[in-house]
Amino acid sequence: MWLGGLGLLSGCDPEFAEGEEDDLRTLSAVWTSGSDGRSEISFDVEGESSFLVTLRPEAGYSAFVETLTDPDGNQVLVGSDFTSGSYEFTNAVYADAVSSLGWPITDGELSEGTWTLGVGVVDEQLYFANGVDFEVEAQLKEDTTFSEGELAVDVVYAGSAVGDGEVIAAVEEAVAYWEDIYADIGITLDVRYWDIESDDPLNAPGVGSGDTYESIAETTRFRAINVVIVDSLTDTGLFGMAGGIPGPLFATGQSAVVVSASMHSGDDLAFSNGEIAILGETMAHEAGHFLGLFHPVESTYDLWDVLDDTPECSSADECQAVLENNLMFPYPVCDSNSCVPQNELSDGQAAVGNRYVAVR
Amino acid sequence: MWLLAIGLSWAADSNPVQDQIWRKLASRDAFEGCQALSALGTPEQVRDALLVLSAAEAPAWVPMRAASCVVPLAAQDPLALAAVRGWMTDPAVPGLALVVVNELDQLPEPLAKELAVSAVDRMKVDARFARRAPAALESSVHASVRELSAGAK
Ligand SMILES: [Zn+2]
Repeated sequence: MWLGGLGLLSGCDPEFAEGEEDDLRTLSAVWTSGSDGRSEISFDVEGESSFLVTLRPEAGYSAFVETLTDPDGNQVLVGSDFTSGSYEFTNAVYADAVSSLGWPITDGELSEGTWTLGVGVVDEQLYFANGVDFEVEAQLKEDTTFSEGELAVDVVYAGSAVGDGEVIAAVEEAVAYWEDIYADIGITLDVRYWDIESDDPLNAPGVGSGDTYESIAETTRFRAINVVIVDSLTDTGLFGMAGGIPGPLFATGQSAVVVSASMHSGDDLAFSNGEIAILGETMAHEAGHFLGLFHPVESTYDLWDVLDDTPECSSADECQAVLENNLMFPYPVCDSNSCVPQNELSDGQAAVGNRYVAVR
Repeated sequence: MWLLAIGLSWAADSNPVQDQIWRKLASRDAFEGCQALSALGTPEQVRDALLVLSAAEAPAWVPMRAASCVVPLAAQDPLALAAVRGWMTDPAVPGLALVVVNELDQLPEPLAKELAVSAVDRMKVDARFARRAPAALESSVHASVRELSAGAK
């Protein structure tokens, strides 16, 4: 009801098409960036507990979230606090071809009423761009608790991983370990397996192969995280990567996590038990990014997540001493032939993961 | 024997340049790329560390990424070239041979072709390698590499 009124007031804001999918309320519209390259996007929260908004401008442009304002008029997120600071909160504040913001991220409730996103659209030189169309897709969930839930995971074998018995056996065992890791934060996984014909090798989501990832996301379940298993190497640097922090649920070229099986099997291309465990940790780690988790500290040791219960440390030795077992630590801590388990998440990290809209 | 020797030296003689490079290579997410390693030591120190780390055991992707940074050096550096040629024929390291195949575009065509010949030979006797190598050979920028790949089918 309010949308029509707002449309009349501004004279040009589009109306959201409202729907429901997998017990999520969905909102879809195509916006056009204003004369200064910025837009204000308002939508109502009607008793839901968290939302995810994804922005996708037309090709050649990027979008980001500058501000989020709650129904009382308080700016609860100011992007510049993070783009120039020492803490990571959401990648929505950085311009990207697909940009997603989940809210709330840490604590706080989602109060009923009209929330407003301040959005910027920029061109490839990062100049603000007016008159650019961009899709706005929002999903809102009702969740009675942020301490437990179920997460659908669609494991997708792509390219030469399809039908590779060794890879399939390793992935299934690794998923069992991932299930144990997430059980500790109250999240039960509902896993399904898919085979998808695709170009081989694939690029990482957000780097390339966008049509393939979008097609995968259109094929698999809507309210699920896609974990794409590739086997050949496009780029040896490609090993594990999430399509966003948080990642988008609606189908885009970034609606997936990709994991390279070959890179996990090492120089002999055969999985040892230790390598299978690390594969499970990587799947859980990349899915953690997709749910909105950052590394507790980046390996430059001058950039931290915002969570109070992940220690703030400032050197490799210091950080390894306090965070070596944390799932989201940026690298496994190993001696010459084995690595310590990285399977722990703090209460604060658990709370972030449980707020993501795919967790029901 | 040479690989065994450097494998032992990884365990025994860790050094600051090697440790820093290890941390870069060990990143669970995408790694910044070989260029980012050049600031961590002299070219010789970085090369030596990469050669040692190409025989590291854990995590599994460290030797793979180390090898990917050794391959581009092979056109100019005899030690790197010897390592790359060794990986193509060493039955114990199909993963490193796969990395070489994946990085052939970074080498001059004559050397890329020489290594592709080794790859095609390896495909006949190494099933794990044979399952994964064709995708890289078929998409090579070097025509002679693509032709070898087509001829191997
Ligand atoms: Zn990560």
